[in-house]
Amino acid sequence: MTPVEALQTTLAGEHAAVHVFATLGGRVSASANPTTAARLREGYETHRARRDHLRSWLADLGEQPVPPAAGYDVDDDSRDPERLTASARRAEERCTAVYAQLVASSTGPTRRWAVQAATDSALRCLSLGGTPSAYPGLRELS
Amino acid sequence: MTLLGLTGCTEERPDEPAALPRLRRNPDHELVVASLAVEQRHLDRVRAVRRRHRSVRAALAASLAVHQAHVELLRGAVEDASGPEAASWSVPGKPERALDALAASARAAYREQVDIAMAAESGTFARLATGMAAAAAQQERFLTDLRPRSRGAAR
Repeated sequence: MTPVEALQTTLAGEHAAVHVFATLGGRVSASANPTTAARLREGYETHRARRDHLRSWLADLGEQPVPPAAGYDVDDDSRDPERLTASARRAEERCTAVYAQLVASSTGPTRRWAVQAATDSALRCLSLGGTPSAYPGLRELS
Repeated sequence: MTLLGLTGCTEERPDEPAALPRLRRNPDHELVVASLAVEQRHLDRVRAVRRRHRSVRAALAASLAVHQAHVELLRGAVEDASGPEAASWSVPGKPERALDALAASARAAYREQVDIAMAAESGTFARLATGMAAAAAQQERFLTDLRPRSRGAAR
């Protein structure tokens, strides 16, 4: 995978994450479940910022950033905070894997950014109720 | 699974002199050894804390498993894993202080694995080092979160 292909794949992952966190965040009551709402909001804002950064980055490289897909599957239409958190965690785990792949396909500042993003994503998995893993983002070893 | 595949070793080409393979060793060999030393050092500390403080032994079982998995994977990839002796590390006498020290050790392991990921020539090994760095970051968070409960349990 070329560095540009890896950046495009990462952007596609962030488009999905933004959609998932926005959808899940819209289903939780901030007054009834403030902690869950805050976690989903923080995840949404982080992924939106990363998506925008990746789009600008690709444009600066003279590439056409991949657009979001026409639709995304968001597990179910539950409003239960635990299920919403679990759905968000699965989306975050996919992001950790995407950033780990970007590490493999890049060098220098891009790799450093990807390492930091993978770590941040792995930590958000814990905030979303996950347990520590031996190899966050490396599904074949988990 | 062996890490030799992960770290990008190339197959010998028949037109090269027989003496060359020693020169064409895995370019990340030293980094794999360094990564193993990082994980072994932290694993030894987790073991030492579990030996000294029975109250946190069960809570640290998962930490032990994480770093043991790293050590076993890396050890399978290097023929000679011998390195410099690890500096001695004394376990603090109170469980909560020992957990603080372990969290600091996990933080150091994270930083070192990030440096290794950044220096790796092989993207595959950089990805692996990133996974281990992220695991160390998760361990630091886990150990930090564990501390208040352990302090309560120790009373």
